Amino acid sequence: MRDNENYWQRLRRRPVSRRSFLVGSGVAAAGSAAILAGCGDDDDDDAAAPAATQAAAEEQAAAATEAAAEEQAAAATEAAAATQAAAQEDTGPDKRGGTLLNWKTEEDAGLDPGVFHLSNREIHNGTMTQPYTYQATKNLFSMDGMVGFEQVDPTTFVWSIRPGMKFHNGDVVDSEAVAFSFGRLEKLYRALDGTHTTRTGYAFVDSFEATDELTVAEHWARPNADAPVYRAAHYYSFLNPRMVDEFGKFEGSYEGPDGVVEDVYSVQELPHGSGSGPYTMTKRDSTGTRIERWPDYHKHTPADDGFVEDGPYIDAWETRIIPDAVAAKAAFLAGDLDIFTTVDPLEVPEFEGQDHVNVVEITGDGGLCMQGMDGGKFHDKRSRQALQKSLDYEGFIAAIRPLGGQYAAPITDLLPAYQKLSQQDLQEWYRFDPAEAQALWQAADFVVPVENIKIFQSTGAPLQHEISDFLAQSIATALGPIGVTTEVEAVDGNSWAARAVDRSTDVKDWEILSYGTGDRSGTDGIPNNSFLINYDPRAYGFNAFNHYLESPRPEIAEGSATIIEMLNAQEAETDPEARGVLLTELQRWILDNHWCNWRLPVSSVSYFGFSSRLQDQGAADWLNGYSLRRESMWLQS
Amino acid sequence: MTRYIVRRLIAVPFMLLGISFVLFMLLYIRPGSAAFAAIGSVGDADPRAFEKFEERFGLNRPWWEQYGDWLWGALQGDLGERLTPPHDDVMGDIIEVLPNTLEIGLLTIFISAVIGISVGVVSAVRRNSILDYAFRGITIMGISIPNFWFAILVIYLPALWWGWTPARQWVVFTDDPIYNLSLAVWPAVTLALASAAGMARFVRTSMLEVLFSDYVRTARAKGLRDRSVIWGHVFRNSLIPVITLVGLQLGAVLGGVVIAEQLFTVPGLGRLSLEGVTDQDYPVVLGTIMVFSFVFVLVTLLVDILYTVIDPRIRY
Repeated sequence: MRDNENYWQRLRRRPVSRRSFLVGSGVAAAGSAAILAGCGDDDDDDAAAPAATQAAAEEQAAAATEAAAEEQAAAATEAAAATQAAAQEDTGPDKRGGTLLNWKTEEDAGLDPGVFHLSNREIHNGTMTQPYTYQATKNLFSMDGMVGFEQVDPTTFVWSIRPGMKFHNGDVVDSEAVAFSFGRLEKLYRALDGTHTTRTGYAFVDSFEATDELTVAEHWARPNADAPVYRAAHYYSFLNPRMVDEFGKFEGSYEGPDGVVEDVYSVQELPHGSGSGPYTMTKRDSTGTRIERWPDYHKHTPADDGFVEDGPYIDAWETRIIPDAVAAKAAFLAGDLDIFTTVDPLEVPEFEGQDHVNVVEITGDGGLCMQGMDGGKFHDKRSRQALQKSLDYEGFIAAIRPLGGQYAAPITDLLPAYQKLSQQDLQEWYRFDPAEAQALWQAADFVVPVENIKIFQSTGAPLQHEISDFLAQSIATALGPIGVTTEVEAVDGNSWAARAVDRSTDVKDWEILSYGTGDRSGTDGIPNNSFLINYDPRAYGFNAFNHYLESPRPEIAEGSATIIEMLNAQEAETDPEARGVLLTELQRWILDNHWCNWRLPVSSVSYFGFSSRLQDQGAADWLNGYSLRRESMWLQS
Repeated sequence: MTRYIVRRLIAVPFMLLGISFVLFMLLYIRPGSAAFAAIGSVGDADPRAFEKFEERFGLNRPWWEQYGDWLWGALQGDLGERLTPPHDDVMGDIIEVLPNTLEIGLLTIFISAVIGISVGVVSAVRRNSILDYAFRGITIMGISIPNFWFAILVIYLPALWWGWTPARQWVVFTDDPIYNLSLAVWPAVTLALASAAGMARFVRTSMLEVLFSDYVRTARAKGLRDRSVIWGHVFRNSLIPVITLVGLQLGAVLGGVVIAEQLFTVPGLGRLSLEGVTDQDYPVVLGTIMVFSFVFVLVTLLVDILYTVIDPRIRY
């Protein structure tokens, strides 16, 4: 690697003292001045994670189901014991204390966990208690506000709440509070006609019932295999009903199934006493937020993986608002931040040789990188197939993923229980064949003639431009000889989103929607979110790609009915193995039919930056959204 | 003089009205929607949510009604609420961040004036010397280097080399004046670079013109000391175009502050304005730009008044 370094990379590595920098700068400035001054004489008129949990993780290969739930509880206890032992082994007084230095790009959009989740996660995760955490890479649940759960029958799920918990104002955390917290999410969703909570997480629930002081039962309309994972989301935080009563702001009304209309309130300011988490919020302004240890935080016994019996090791979290990426990188390099999160693979060398910086390599699917097709125009499967055969996949990997790339299936390979298609399997569909592409295109039926293919993207990530340009070039190479031209249009994010989901006509004003750079991994553990929702005729398939049940194009309507049936079947299948088979069939159907979207090759590695002093940070699950609740993280002094 | 000032002050509201109208129309005709910026991230949001959003903020009304409402509110000191959640009061947000921007703006003008005038005077007095050549070279560099790029270097290189960056946690002046100044000086220096360079060249040119005028020769002939000639006659007489330039540079400084605040993580009016633009939050954009405009109009008026102080011959 060193042999390939250019001058600037070598220069960056060379230690430069303040003195030599100043001397060099002075000489350079004087030299430049002399040269420039001599250039003309017109100046006068110029104005101008712990190893001990590994065994437990392997045991938990099955997704959470009735059977798995029991195994889960046992494994979690085992994992907890192992973690506890490991922790006690090297727990010294030095693990406790310190302020973790975090950052975010903008101020929050309100703090109610049931409304928006824009730049407010550090507050939810620090100041509130959730049922449990879920580490997707280990398929591991760790108990937080709950001590257990049980799938009593296919449509009844029962929670046991941790005894002795209190909200920050001293109110008791009981089953009424928990049932209220869970139940209000759908009410808010309906009152506001949409929130950031995932509707599919409660769409199958009939009711949340407080059955005794520390037990809550969920009554479902139908089985749902993903339900336990959904409940690990931070918006299932326990919220004090009294604070909502006292400080809530009216958001609208909600009509329940029994026809009773109920007013719905939010607490976007999250007043003190709303949460029961390990920290309380002590600062929130335009420069950032601060949360500090709450001395009365309940005992976490037994402490599962990621938790500590006596509360978090770290005393406080200071989160700065840094809107600019360069400033954030500079702050991280300067030691002003403990967390940097995703590092652009091409920038990794810049972090080398910095002792206080720890760049962690995570292997796996690099995330979303899509080429979405307008079903209004590409209703004939052959036209979509022609586009797929027009992409030079090997060339794409060489040009866009120089540090390693891989083919991507409709479900991320970070969910091995559900992703059974190997790279070899995927090669069946990822073939560059210009001759076949031309034949397919010429044979295809077009209701709306397509002579020019507009690839539509939002501005922002430089890599997005490179991806779109490559697509345009590759399609032009394959289909250009038969008269098809290509162009790329890039607009700002809001305009892009507006035009992506514009449904004023049967066809879009673009042909291909290019989105996602595929260079960072992450999953919440739910196949729908990673990434089946992009193919779903009830979600993005409808909103963005004209692949929906009521499509005026018969082929699209028929395909929509088929995939909806397959999506429903897999979601209701609670046996992980049987579900894995259904999901594989589903993926094969998507790929065979070139349905709606095409995942482009993604990075096979992602990089995360942490400070060297931050220990046990749970790097592999950082982007999965659960590591922020890792109370076992600690700061080396 | 008083009549002139009154006349100018009467014109201010009309100028602001014109600016606000043009700005509103530009924001109105641009593609995209504030509803998407505010709630577009809701993956499966019901289309009714967008309609409800537009209804709540009156975005579904004709432009003249929207503008009229905004204008009526603005006249009463109410710049509306932000379209992006949590829908803060725009005036409140502006009042919170305005002192930070004014601080950086004033520091920039101060640094720019001190450096620009000093370099310009030395360059003119020691014209065609090595020092003059060096300063002229540096000033060309200062004018040529885009301030956003210079700011990136100022932020990033010290972090890479010495593990230190000037883009640190912002603290307001009233909490810790010394620390605050240690933060504010960096964006100010970055912005001052180009304006100081421009000013230095302007001062030099202006002084050279005066240096060879008859009254300076007369002053020297009277036996006045060189220092008295330079500061009492040459400098004062070359100040009028310089002061015009300082006033005009304020516009560039206010423009530059948008990028500088973003890069140096200063919660200021520029950053607020940029947020408004990206979120298509027109009350924020209108509110912040109107404040910028108001400041600019006032400063140009102040410059005009200053002319009379510097040169008693000027009368309005």
